[in-house]
Amino acid sequence: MIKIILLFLISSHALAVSSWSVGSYVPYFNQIQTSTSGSKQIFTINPYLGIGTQLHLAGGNYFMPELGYSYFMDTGTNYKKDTIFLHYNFAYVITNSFIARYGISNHWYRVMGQGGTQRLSNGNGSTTFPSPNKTVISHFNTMNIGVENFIIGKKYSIRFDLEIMNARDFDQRGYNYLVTVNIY
Amino acid sequence: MKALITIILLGTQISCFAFTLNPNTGKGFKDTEVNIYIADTDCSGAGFTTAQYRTLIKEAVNKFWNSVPTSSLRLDVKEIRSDIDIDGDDHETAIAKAPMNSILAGCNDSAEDFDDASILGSALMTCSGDNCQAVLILNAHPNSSLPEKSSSTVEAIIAHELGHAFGLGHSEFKHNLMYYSISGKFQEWLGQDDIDGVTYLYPHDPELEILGISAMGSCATLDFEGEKGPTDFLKSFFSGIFLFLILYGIRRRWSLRES
Repeated sequence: MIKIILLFLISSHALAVSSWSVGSYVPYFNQIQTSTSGSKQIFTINPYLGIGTQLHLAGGNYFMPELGYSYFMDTGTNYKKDTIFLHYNFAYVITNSFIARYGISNHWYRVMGQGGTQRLSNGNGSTTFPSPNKTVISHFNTMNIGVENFIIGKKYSIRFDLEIMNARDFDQRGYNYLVTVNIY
Repeated sequence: MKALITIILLGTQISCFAFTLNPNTGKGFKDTEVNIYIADTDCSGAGFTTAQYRTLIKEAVNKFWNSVPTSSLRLDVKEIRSDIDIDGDDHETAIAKAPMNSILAGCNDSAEDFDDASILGSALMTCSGDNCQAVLILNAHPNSSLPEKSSSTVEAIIAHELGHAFGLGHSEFKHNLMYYSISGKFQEWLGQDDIDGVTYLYPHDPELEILGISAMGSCATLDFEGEKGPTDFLKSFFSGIFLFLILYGIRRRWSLRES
């Protein structure tokens, strides 16, 4: 985690990055059971850090690519998780301080097994179960829609991006969202 | 800004999750598309016919395991196999009858511990090298409490046993499907452990390449083998455009700064 933050700091300085994003990434919105009564995950804090730039295309249209990283806080003792993002978002200026965002993203969702075993209940007794012991990456793409509102002299903004996983398949569709504060 | 970040970090609640793997195999099937065959067995003790059992399995598969976007696992429920009968078999005998690299589902009244009404079902997976077989058996013993369960609970029980059959172990947290007991909970969705477990065993598209270079490889691993479909081309194309525009943007900003 510290190495990743240092990498972002160094690369942002060296590459003249023009925006920073800090916030939370919430995967599987309203699709993960979080209690025995069946309630689902609405919000969680998984710190997100992003660096991006803006390219003016034409009129009120911009291309706003961003490299992002999110570390999942809610992982267990036997594995860790993080995600690296490449966002290819476009923006359309609606008012002087409000823009609509749309685009696609690549996600590298990484599960890092720590190895070991766990003794857990099984039937009327207990069994020793092996824990994950290697790093696995799941790559997927999302379609994104979002909004961004600029504040304090357009130096800062608040952004909300909704990401749609498996947009083509209704049965397997999933939603993630990203809430960030951005510094330009 | 610093205050905001501090508040966010202080407000973070760190909860723990922990999926585990099947104790017999420690891994899943080699392929991500796994067939489920139904043995032609008597499920009346469990409260349904074999045809109804097949329908319940289909619903369980679609409701839980086939709906994880970060995983490539696809369970495909096949026909009832009239040539396979596991009545009276113990687990070892039953699993030997499972087609290779598939899951065989059936009911039984004499498998290990099935005289205990609280044991609703069980699953066993074995592998020899890359080839694996698995069997899912529901308790059809006269003492079985399955007939008292609602159809959504039976679907959750089947989905739990299927989790073992394709390589998962138990979770220690009760809200997850792979918790060892269904008692006292309402299981309509997968928990975080279940999603992470199935993603770990069957990741979605684990080897993305950008312009032919493995994005997460140790060092620019070039791969010219294998057929590349249009999706691979599009991924590579968009990734290339992205990198090009990033470099263009950096160069342009750098030029503006210098001028």
